[in-house]
Amino acid sequence: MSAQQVLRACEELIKGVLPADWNFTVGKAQQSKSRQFDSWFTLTSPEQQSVNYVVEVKRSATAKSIVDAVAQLRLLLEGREGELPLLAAGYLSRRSQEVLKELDVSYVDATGNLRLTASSPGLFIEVQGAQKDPWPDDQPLRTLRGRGAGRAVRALVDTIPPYGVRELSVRTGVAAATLSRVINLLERDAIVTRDARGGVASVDWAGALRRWSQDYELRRSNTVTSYLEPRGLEALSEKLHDVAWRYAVTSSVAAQRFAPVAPARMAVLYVDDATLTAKKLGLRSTDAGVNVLLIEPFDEVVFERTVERDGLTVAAPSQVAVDLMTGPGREPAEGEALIDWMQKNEDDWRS
Amino acid sequence: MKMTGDPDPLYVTARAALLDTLDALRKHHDALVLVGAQAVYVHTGTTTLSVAEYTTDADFCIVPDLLADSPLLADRLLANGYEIGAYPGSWISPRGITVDLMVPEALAGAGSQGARLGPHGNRAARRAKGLEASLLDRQRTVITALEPSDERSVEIWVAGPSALLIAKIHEINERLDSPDRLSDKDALDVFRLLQSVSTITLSNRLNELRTSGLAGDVTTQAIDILPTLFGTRDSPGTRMAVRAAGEQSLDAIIGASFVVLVQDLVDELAI
Repeated sequence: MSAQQVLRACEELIKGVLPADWNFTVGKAQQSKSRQFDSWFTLTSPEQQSVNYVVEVKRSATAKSIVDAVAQLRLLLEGREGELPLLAAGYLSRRSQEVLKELDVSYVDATGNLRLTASSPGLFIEVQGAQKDPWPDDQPLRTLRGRGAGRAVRALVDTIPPYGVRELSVRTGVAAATLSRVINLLERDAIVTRDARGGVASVDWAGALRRWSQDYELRRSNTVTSYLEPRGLEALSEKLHDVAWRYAVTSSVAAQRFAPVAPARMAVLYVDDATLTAKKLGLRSTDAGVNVLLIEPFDEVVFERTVERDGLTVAAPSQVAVDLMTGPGREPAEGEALIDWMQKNEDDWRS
Repeated sequence: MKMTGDPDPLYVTARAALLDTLDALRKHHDALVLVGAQAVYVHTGTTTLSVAEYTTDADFCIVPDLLADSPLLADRLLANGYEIGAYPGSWISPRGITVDLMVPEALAGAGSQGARLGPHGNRAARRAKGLEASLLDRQRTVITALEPSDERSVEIWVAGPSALLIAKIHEINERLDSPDRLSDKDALDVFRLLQSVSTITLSNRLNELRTSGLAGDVTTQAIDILPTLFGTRDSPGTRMAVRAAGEQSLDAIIGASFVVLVQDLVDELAI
């Protein structure tokens, strides 16, 4: 929700709860070099008495940020009679509302939580709205750990810009809100740049993968089970040639299909059901000697943009790269080698 | 998940020496069965494991009944530049590759080292335990040179995987008290055979062999020895294979895989 959207929603809510004989007008926000307030509401009683609310809009508000904002407002209002602070927000938690009550500051949020007080003219309206944040994601994203974030990074990396957020959402099936949050994070990290209209102008996709690898980890972000293929990885490849079920090879075995470095020691497969897959492939559970990892993935996106190579279904290079970067031993180096290949062969994997 | 590429140069030379020997012994092809490491590689191919420790010997099993009286083995080999090696049956090819001619112990007549081969004498080939099965489990296979410039190609008998397994088990077992790198390599060959050939194929053939008159004893003995040599990760044979592979990062995987494959075979043979 943008600040403007929050403001519009709050205006409508106030209009809706005011007694019919009261009047509500919105003043122009103070336009000065040092922006003072976001908006200005005037409420007029039937007796033509008015109260002016100086409005501060918070797209998202924590109790801490509210205390700060109120102190700021009070400072601005010092010596100005007949003007009261009002805090408008997308959502105010119960705690935030308590803080505002204690400070005797009127508030309204876009979900319908509202408290308007004034002594002259006398006014007291209190309404309860949502008790849970319907847009919990409005806080700026700090990590790419989550499933949605992973999907969004894949979409941004795999798709050649420019594109608008909605357009990318339609093309990749990733929620626009999720994309926006990830784009914001990557923009803060100077990995994504935007055009004048807010669309994505450019993506440093290698940077995005490296940034993702700080928060994502193949072996922690997914459900991993270890197995032994006693006949070796070549035999495993043969078995995978004709299977009718869904899987995607990642890590070293996959990287070899693009940028061979050294023979793979460990096969890593994304599958829907590890136990069932192990049974179908004749893999053994073992306490020592592991050469196959079956991974139930963080998200279905690992099965998207797979490629067929040497009879194997291989995960998208972008997925393979991030998986390698977060792996043990020489895998990160193999990840960098794959990124080199991706740089030289962008047409092969990006569209 | 194989790394394809050019074969190891040593392997190329070994194959060339093998073909040299077949050229020299052209009249005796029907009496020869390829055994040993080169036969193992016919079945396993070059797997993901390193081939640097490759055993370059060309080993042949001789079927005495089918061996013609002339030309003499020794004459043909000496005429082609081969030198007499340290033991009976051991020849050094002009390329420096050792060629071993062996006769299954059950058919080698009296004596302790040299096989009794009538007009061919007692030093052309040596007796070896465990090769009996290669006269029964064998297949005609075309052997080609690995060098592009070498166009030679010969169809000969090559011992089957089960026969090779039996021979290797006896070989390792006999040298168990004085293990060396060669034994380690043999153990790795056993592992490669178990990895490459399905358990059911091996067990079916082993079951046939253990009821045969010629190879019954050596087969039964080999099956009995198998778990002693390779039953656990700490068994002597398992440790040899791990050592031969020489890749520390693969130690646990090779050990665990070997044990699983041996157990599978033992279970299948018990049915």
